[in-house]
Amino acid sequence: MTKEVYVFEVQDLSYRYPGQVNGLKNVNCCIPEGKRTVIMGQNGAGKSTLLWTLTGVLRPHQGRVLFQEKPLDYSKPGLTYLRSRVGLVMQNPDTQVFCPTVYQDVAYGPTNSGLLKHEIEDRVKWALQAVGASHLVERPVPFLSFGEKQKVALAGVLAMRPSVILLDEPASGLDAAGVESLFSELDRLHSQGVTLVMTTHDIDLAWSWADYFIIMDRGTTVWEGDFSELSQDPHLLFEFGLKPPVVTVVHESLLKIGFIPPSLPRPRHIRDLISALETEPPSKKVREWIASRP
Amino acid sequence: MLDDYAWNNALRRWHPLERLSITAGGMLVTLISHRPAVAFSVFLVFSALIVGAARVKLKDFLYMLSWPVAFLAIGIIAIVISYNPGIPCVLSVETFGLTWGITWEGVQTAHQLSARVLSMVSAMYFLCLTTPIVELTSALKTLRMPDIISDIMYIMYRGIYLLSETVEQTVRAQTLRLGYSDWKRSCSSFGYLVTFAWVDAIHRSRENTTAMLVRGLNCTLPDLAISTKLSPARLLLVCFVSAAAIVIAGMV
Repeated sequence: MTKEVYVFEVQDLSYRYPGQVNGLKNVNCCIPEGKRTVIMGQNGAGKSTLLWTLTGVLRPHQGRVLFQEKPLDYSKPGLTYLRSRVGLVMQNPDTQVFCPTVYQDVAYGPTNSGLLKHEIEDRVKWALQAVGASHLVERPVPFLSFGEKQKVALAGVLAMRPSVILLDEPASGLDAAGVESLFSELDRLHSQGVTLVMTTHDIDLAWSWADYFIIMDRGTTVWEGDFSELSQDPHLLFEFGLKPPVVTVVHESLLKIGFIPPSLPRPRHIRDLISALETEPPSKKVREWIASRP
Repeated sequence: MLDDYAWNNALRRWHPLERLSITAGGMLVTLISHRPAVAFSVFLVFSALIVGAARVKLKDFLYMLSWPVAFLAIGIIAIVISYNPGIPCVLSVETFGLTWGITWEGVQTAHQLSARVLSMVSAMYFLCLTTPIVELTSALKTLRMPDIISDIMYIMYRGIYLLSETVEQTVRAQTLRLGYSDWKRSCSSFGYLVTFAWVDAIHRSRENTTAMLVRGLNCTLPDLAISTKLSPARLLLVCFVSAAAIVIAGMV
């Protein structure tokens, strides 16, 4: 049995904002390497604050963060190394995309990493292609739409080739097509070995995507575990002020009225439920219902 | 921090005109008297009011005071140190045929200037730390200040906060992409920061104007009613004390 490797370990972490506002209180959690982790919670639960402490932007008042099994080094070389390995896509791309053109913005990180000119050009080309924004390369940044800025912000982080990408509410402000496009890019990155960590309060999105869950409430972690553990009792989410995903509610309702057999595995996405319904032989109740229709 | 204290200080229940009167009285005392001791006393009085009466934390007040004091220190150096061949100095050094030295006149000027600056700064901090900007502009309007001036004051005040928020978030984003990892990159990143902050400020101001227009802006910003009641007794007491202080300062 392989031992779980954690890219981040948070031990008894506390952070207080100026004015004595508690951001984090005795947080303990681990982020597994190579998995898609989601940090969930209501607004004000401390999700973004946790991400900021993982990148070394906020220094905790108590506790520590281990990165690759070593405590975070807050010296300049230490933070430079951390930020070359860990990228953060902020919630608001308006302040993350700040250079005059898209090319300059995506090239910003690789330039600061000390790469040669041709290497920078290759990285920019690759990063924009990865997010489907190659056509924006010469566009001035102020003329980008919100969704385009989101893609450019992600490309800017990707261009540094981090092994871990933290995303703060990446789906906020995007339409359904934008969300699908973004997450297909993220899944492609994940298949290449990148560890992804996302914060969200959208349970449906998290349910359909994440391998590992960390649930936060009022500045502290209240639950963490694999999807397989959470899927056994999704109603656990009620205890933390969250609602179970729509797909499990529909699944349980159909199960209750006998429309689907108990042998059907818990679906992650509504389309999994639909395709299971289409492929499973109809139950007796369904056959009776179909027969009763004119 | 400034805004937090303005809304949550111990003198919050006082009418803004009362606080404005105290501030104006203190500033007039400083202007009329030429004695550094008087100005320094005004500084001590306002510091006591800020920390004792308004209950602003001493640590926070000293931090806020450190910025103007730093600017003052830089200015004082230029005043205290003179260069002139052959002038009598308290302390001097001669290089390249010039005498660089600290003169007694320079020390006296610096002494008077620093006392006055500290006094005025503490008076303004008293007003800023105890009075939210919306109440201050409403109070100024009741004193018949032209609407355009109070509106510009409010918009500039708000603009500073928006700009500092943009700058803070952009610096974070730059830092996360190693933008300040050495001197050369810091200079380049600072250039991007200034350009971006400027452009963003223009965009935001246009958006603000649109937001105000669609909600029926009609030449001036609406005047918000002041929630605190004016206490005539307290206002009279403040005016009497200020007047007495001004007279004494003029005589001393």
